[in-house]
Amino acid sequence: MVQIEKVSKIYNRGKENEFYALNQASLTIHDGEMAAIIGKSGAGKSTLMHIIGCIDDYEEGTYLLDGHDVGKFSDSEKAVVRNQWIGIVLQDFALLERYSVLENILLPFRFSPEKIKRREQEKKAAELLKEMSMEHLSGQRVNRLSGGQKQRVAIARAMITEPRILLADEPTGALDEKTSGEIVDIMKAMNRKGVTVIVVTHDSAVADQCGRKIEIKDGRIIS
Amino acid sequence: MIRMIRITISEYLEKMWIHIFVIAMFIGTMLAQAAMVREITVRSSMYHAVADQMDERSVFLEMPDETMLSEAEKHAEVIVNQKYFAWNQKPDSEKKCEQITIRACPEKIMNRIPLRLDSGKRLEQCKTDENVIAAYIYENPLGIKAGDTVSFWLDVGDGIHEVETEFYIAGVLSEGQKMYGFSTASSDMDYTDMFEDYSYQQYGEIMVLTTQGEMKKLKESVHCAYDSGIVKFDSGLTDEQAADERQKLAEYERKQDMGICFIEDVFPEADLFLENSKEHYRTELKKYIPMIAVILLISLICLIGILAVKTDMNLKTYTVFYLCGMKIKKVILCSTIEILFDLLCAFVLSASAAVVINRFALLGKVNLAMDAPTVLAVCVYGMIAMAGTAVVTRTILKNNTPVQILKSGM
Repeated sequence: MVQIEKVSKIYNRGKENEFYALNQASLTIHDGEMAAIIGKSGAGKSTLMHIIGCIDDYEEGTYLLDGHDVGKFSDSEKAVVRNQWIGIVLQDFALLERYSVLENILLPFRFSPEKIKRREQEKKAAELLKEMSMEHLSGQRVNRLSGGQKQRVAIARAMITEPRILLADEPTGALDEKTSGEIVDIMKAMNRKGVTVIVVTHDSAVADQCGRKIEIKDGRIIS
Repeated sequence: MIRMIRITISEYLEKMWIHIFVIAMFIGTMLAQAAMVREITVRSSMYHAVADQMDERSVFLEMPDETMLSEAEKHAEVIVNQKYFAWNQKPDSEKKCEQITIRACPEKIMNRIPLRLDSGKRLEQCKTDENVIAAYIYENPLGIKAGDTVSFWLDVGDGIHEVETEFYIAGVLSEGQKMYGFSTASSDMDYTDMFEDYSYQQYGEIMVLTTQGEMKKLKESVHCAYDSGIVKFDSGLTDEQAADERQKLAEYERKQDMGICFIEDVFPEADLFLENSKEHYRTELKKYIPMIAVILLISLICLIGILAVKTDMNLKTYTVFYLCGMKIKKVILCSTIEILFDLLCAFVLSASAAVVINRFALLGKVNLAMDAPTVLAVCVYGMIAMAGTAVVTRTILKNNTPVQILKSGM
């Protein structure tokens, strides 16, 4: 469960150009939910997502992840969160272009606290690729894939360590309508398997398919 | 840790072309630094080698004999050159033999002067038998080269006998390599006049250079001539006593009818000599300020370029790793290990390039030996490069989210 209590992200604190990217934002997302965070550009959606994904810090408030105070986590503990608890998908895919599909998907295992046998890793990757209908592209270099295929690889990579939360920042932002639909379907399938899915989007079509919409404006959560 | 090193190695190999570029930039910088440090070290060591053997009461001895030296050594520390005469084969043989001059320098001077060798290594790095004398040789018509063990017949001094002695040639000195010995005697001389240029092309004399310690390996008493002496009176002597001793040496020199009394007439007073030397040394160092500034600037520009290229090429990869669960500390560590690999490769290649450049005189008289001061300078530069990498990586990761880094193309 994600619990955000009066969290503020402040740039240039104490200076003339002080700016609140997030202002006293409070939010609870329960396990198994599929929520869309919506809002205009610059509203604070991505900042909220970065804080939830432990890739950015906040100045005020409390963030509890499954009851643990993330504000007290060390860099190492946050790394474990990104590796084991939360899978992150970005608009620009964040894939290593010169790596193969399989190598990209297996990347999180390089940093996992537990050592998992390569055969087991590949087995898990194969299952995910099958779900994405991409098993035949396992050895393909990522730079030869289409945008939709790349985003599927990014989702597979995010899910390879079986995290409980999938965090997607504008996952369909770089895709056409048909491919966007396919990506949303994949995320819905993940949600049906019990994964909490949080999607940051400004695309109302994507938001409409999520069970809950959280609207953010000027750094404040308004609904 | 092993996993981190494996990741770093695999990333390193993936981006080999960038690393080749980085290594090439480092090599250029290191060679420039080597040239700079070497030039300064040579001047500095020549100055200090002489200045440290003297004080204001010292006197010079142009060509003392053994009696004069014995007299001087009673109340002073004396450094002096020894000169032996030898032949490449027994002189009475029917074959034409070449005369060889063997110059034995005091260790206190020899060990402090950086030598430019065309090939071979320094005497201190050679282990020879107790009856084999290790020495350097200049370019010679006998074809003697580094690593050769040759026999010379040394003139015992009685005009009848020669003693055969084995010499191990540790290295071949470059043409123009300076060696200790007064090149001129004038009232305005300074430390640079205490060293002579030598080349076979210019003097046509086969010259072997060694230390007096090595020459002590001679089993028989062999005649030698002395020159270029510096007398430093014991600190226990009062100024009056030192003046008396100096007078005695001058008198002796006069009695020997050497024509000129060097102590009194030709050489400057020691304090004037030291003042001249210090002034000349400062002037020499000042000449290097523009060169030092240019090389430091080039080093800095190269470093900034390297950091920019590495940041551009590496950070995206490591940011993806960070998203997948890599710790910031390990991101910094991987970047730093990468640059350490680059620096090590560049150092090995620079040292090899320096050998080739010296061997074929590709930069004329510029010597690029990777000696201790050069290695120290390169190490400092390497540490700055590593610290710079760590700081830049950390600053970018701390001040930007991974998304910003990936979007900005950093």
